[in-house]
Amino acid sequence: MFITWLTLLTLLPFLMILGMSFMKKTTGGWIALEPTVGNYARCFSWLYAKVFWKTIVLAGLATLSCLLVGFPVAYYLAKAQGTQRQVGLILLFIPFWTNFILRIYGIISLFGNHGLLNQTLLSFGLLDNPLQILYTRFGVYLGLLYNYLPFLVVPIFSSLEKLDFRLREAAQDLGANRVQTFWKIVVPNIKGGVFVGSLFVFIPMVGEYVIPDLLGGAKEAFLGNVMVSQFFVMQDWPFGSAIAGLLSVLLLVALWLHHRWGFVRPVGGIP
Amino acid sequence: MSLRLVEVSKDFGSFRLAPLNLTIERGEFFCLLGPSGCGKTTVLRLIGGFEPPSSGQIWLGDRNMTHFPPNERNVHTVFQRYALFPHLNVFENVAFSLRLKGTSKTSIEEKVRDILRLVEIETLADRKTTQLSGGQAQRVALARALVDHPEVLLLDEPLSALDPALRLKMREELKTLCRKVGSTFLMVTHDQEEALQLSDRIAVLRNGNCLQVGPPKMIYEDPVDTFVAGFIGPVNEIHGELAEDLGEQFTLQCTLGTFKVKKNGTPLPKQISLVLRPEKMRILRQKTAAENLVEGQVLDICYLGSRTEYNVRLPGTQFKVFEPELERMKKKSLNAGDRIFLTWKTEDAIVLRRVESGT
Amino acid sequence: MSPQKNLFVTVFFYAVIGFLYLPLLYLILQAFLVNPNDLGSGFTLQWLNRVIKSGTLWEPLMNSLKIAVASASLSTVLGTLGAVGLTPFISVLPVSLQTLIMLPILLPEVITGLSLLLFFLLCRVELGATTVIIAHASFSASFVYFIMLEQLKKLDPHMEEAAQDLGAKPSETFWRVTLPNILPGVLGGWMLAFTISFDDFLISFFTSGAGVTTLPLKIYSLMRMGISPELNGLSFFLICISTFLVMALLFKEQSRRWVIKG
Repeated sequence: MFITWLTLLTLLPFLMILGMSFMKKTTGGWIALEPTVGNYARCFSWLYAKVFWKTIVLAGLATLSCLLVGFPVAYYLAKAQGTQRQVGLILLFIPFWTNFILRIYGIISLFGNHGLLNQTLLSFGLLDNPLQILYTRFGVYLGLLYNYLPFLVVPIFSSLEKLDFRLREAAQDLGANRVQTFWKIVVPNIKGGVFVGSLFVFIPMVGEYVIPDLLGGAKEAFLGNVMVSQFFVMQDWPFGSAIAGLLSVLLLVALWLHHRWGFVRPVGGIP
Repeated sequence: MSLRLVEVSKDFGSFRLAPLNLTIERGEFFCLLGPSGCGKTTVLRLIGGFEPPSSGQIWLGDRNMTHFPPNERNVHTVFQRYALFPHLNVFENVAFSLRLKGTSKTSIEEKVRDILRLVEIETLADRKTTQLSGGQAQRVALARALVDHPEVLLLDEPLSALDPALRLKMREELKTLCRKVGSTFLMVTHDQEEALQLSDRIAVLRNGNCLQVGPPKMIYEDPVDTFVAGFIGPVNEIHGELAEDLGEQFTLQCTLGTFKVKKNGTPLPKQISLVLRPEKMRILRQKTAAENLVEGQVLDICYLGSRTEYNVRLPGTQFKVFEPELERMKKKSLNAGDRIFLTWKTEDAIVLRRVESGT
Repeated sequence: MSPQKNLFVTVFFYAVIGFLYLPLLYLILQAFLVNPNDLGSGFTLQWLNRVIKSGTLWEPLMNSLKIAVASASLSTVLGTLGAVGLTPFISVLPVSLQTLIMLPILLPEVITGLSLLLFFLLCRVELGATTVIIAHASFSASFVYFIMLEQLKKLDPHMEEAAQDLGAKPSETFWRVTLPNILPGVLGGWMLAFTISFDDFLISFFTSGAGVTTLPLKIYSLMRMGISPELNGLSFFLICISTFLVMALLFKEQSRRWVIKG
């Protein structure tokens, strides 16, 4: 029992932390101690709602792209056997083991105005002016895709792996063609894993700070960036906390959805 | 030192073990027999100390160990899947309990070697547990549990994970082991043959209730109800009403006719069941005068070498009859479809009160 | 599967891998160029030299290592104890508790970072290496917990009962039986916690205050100043180390597999 105690001790600061941020936002914080919901109301004002919307849309797009790109990758790995598969997995994950910031730095180097991509394009005369990738929405999108791709490959891969390929053979034996097999057998069975994986990629994306900061600049702020600026630049801690609270609520909702829908285990044949 | 359970019960909400009273003598080989879900494993776990009883006490000799944790009881368990420690080799697995007590190195060496020799796996001392066959693993589990001579050894369906040939061999070895070591062996099984072969006494359980306790012969020949009768061996049942009282016997009235029923000293209700063992019935090729006679038709025949099994159709029911080879070869051979007569001696029939069937 | 499909998928896979490696490879390349932006500027080792000689990168590196070791150890202990303690109750664990344990993993780092900062400020704790260690540990403990949970599932449930049955007290059971069997998982968890801590940027950013700089933080501040050759040099070293570590780990896995086969 004393073991549970210790876990609680890690959770306790955490609980307090969470509680703290909640408290902070409804009370006045630095300014006054009157509890107010005004902070939350501000969140919904046009200015911030826009940021909110943009964050979600971009994260959603990036997640979708990760899915589209990730699926063939996962498929290859699932189909590969033995050493081939191991090599593939290793290759996929080595970038993951390098420092996160470094990877962003790499992207900046490559795609910056003086980066390799532009240099090549310019020197080959394909462009007159350097392509502006950094500090644009596309740059952020690229950063998200680059960083989160391996994370989505893993759940798709493990779902595919668990899928009994004999189910496909059974379907074909009964007369289904390739396309039908895919939609009626493969998709329903991996739906669960794919959904869970997407959620676990989408949620962190929404909460991203560094990528929009480094690759997007001031214009392309995500919720996370706005939140931080409220804390450090505007010194409006309560309002910042309100944004944090809102974000947390959004995430808990997404989690609850996952709880309701997500636990679809691939079962032999019957989803 | 005997093991005593006094009014021991356990309530799991969805399952209840009714208050149980049991006394098991030192050195006995005792079996808990019953279908799955009857509570026999629960009893074992209560004795082992892995679950506290909801009520009652557990005594070992003059020690009340009801609330002792498993490590303070002088009781060891052989688990169904052996639960050997994968990070230790065979020798260390067996030596485990001795090391905990701080036994001297030389003493450990001696005791472990002795017990390994007893279960005939001396040569495996240095093997890793992951490299053992089923039978070998089981012997290691036995050695581990017996090395420090516990009062009681609990065995949870120890033979169920073995293949049939090995199972038969191990049955004999278990019995010998029990005699040699002198500990009380308490085994849980759902295999009635096993229980009959190995036990000094058997307790039959069903749905959390202990139905009968006694030596194998008693359970077989004198079952307390039709469930026990049917569980311990194949049976044929006749249900009917007691009609006349003839002094030492009753007559039984049923759809198959009228038969003689022996009084067994206990008061009987009007509705009774008559249990007939297939081996206690005889097939007559022709009608003769007999106390109990039924006409039937042979459905199918199964020749098993030492005996032949017949399925006989009777009005409204079907009977199984065993005919030993020695008798069969003296008589005319039968074929499916033949009309025959079945008979039995009145004293061979078991009279029981009628019990609802179904587990 | 049709050969064309096979080919497509394989090509696609390696194309994606290429895309993933391109930035890193370019960084490595740049480390050797006189002018990082100019491919034709010639090959040099001066930047690498500078990185090694200059002290500015050593301190953050040492800090990161120390913090990572400390927080990894702390979080491994916490996570393992948590998993060991909660496994018997795992089926009856209320959803609220489960969510609580998952919280560090689910919440975006911004939020956890900010809330920890708030927490420390409110407790009037001075920001520094200790706060970073605590922050990292709280964050990675949950990861360790889940890893250990999986490890414990694989254990024979009767093993601990067997140990007790043979006379071991609960503490003896843990030390003599449970721990030796989960050790590989514990080590794996430690390594994960170490990586999380060493790599971490955002949480360190919020909880380190002025005094302590970790490697990622240093890299970040250098990046804000623009592309620097020294940074490229450092990148080279870091990428090499990461790759080497991954190779070493996998080599160990492989050789273990060969031993079992043989």
